[in-house]
Amino acid sequence: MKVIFKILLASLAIFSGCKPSPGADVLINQKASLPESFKLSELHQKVITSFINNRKHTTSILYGNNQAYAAANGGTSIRSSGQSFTLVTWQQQDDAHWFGARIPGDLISAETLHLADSCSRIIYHYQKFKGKELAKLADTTGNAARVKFILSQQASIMP
Amino acid sequence: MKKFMFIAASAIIIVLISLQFFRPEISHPPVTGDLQAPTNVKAILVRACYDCHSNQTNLRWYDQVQPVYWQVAEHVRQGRKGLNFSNWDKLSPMDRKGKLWEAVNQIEQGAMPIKSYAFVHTDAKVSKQDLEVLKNYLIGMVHETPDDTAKIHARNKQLQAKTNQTQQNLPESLNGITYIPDYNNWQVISTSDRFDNGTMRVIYGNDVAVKAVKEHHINPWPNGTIFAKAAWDKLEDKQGNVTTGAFKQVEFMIKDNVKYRTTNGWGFARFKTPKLKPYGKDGMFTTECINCHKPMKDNDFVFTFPIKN
Repeated sequence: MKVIFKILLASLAIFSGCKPSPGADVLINQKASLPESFKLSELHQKVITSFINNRKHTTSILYGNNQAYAAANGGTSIRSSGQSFTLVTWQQQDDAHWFGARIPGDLISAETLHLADSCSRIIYHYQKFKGKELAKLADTTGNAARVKFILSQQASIMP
Repeated sequence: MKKFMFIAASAIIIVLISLQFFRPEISHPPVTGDLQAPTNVKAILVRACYDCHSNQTNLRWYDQVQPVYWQVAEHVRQGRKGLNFSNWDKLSPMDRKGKLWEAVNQIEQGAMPIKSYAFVHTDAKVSKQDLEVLKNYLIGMVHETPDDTAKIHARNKQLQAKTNQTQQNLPESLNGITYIPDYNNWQVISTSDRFDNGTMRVIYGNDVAVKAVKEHHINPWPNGTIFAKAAWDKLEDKQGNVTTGAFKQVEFMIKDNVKYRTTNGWGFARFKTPKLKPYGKDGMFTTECINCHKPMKDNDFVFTFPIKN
């Protein structure tokens, strides 16, 4: 009797595919997560657009505060003080849950851009943060091109 | 004791024999247009899928013994409903592609062929090599065209329409879920580059979802969690830069394990194009959602690996 019971139990385990559910540590995309210190979610910026670079296999999201979002969606290139942007870029990785999709992998960088007014001129405050810990980058080479690049992005069509 | 065992065994045998006379029907409707694929690809699909996903069901003697036959008949009925390679001609080229990618994903995630079926029909098992053959076939179907004029035109058309768009009442999906316009104020929990169907997506999560990710309480996700997944055409230029093209759709998943008990605790909705046309012919469109999400049953039916912001 005991043997029968054991066989039944074993077959039940086989058929129900008895394995523990994956925990949050496996399911959360740790590689792509931003360090807590960056506090991106507390900025409450909106997605202006997202883009991919098929040569570098990177994926990016451009966020903006309400003023930046409104300007980008208005289709105007009017730049005024108070507009704030954040551009986050990841290396892509294959999606383990869907063959046919690539999702964010290692965090590459975050870039912030604030537009401020000084003596009736717009000043562009740009800062780049690099790597998993988003360390502040002191090197300012190429900053002007990045500012231009961020400001040239068109908003995604939203209903 | 011995006598009791004898009576019990006889009763079971009598019941089993009488059960053989109750037989659900498994029909064999005509094949209107069979799947066309390279021989090696087709051979794998025929072997692993066709018993339930075509009109060419090949029953072995052991499939026809009751009470197993009931289960077999139900598998065939459900299988054909979800995907039928014998009526391949009835699908649009895009739907055919979509079905194939979904099928291969179901195999890769171990959801198909159904475990109990593969246990008995050992020849239906898809080996690692078989899976590679299927995946290579699909990869061969991916064509990313730079400066795709049709896609550029579709985007421009939507942009023009946007300027004279008037605010309308919020649309409702066929299972009674009202469109949630607020999602573009939510945080992003991931993006997805869907090279299988040429779209790119942003997955938003409401406050409940974002908090759940921060606190690592995502399996199961708490009630009140809502995801919104917005999709656009991928527009690629000659330098490999891909930007968002025409807006395709937004999909919602709303967690409420009481209200949406019958759909695994999630309320599903999909609104197509900037006009937000509710998806499906009737409320039963959710069967499609459930079937596709089934391989994720150990992850509370969620595909997305959320990012902490």
